[in-house]
Amino acid sequence: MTSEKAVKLVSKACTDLGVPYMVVGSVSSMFYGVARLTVDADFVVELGRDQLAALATRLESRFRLQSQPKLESVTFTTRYLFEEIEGDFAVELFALSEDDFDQERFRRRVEVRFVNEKVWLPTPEDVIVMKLRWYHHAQRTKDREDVSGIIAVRKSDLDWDYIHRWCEIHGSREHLDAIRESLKRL
Amino acid sequence: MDTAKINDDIRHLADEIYWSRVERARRMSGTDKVRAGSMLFDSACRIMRDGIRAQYPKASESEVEDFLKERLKIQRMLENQP
Repeated sequence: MTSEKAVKLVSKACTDLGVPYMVVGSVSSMFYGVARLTVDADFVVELGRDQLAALATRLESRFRLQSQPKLESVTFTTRYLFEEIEGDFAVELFALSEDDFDQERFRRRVEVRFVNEKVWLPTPEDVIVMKLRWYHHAQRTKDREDVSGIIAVRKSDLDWDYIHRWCEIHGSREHLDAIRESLKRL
Repeated sequence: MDTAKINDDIRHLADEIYWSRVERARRMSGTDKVRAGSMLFDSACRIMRDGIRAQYPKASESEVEDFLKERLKIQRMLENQP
């Protein structure tokens, strides 16, 4: 399975079940930036009562839901993992949290045309802010690369005031500045 | 909202995600990975084309291909960055 196929399957299921969602992670990075080979598709979802079970039923011909969330928290990190039954692809659903930035990026999400379907994505600014937040705390190289890719492609076509404001709040501004400095050498 | 708790959660979650992805990668053979790489690259290009169309709604298909080539060139430059 590919990211685009997984995104189409899950976004259609969410739409049909009335689950507000947005596609995050590497797919959103690719949409706004440069290619990345990935065998995962990540979503943020606002799940209502019983909707996880309904979603699992809807996807059960292709994906198996791990019985328990891998890590549960009242704050940020409830994650549900769906593994492809006949393959190695995985879909990860992150429950929308009460975190201020999580709420803000979800509120600002945009509907875009994605391989002949309409799907919800965060704005490019919000992808950058979130990736930098992860990079700041987890030091994952791919997050830095994703940010570099989006900035290198979009250049001036970004709301820098918005990005700076959230990076200051998250303590990730120095990483942003270092990335922008490195891009000057391209 | 407890920021320290959130930051701690991010670190833990990143670890969880990393190891679950490593585990899945281990289950694939070398041939599977090469085949998947080609398929995933084609898929990535289709996603990028849609991103380009969203950014430049008036671009012709030929211009979309030009923008795609430019993005792939940027990607190569980023990969070769010291």
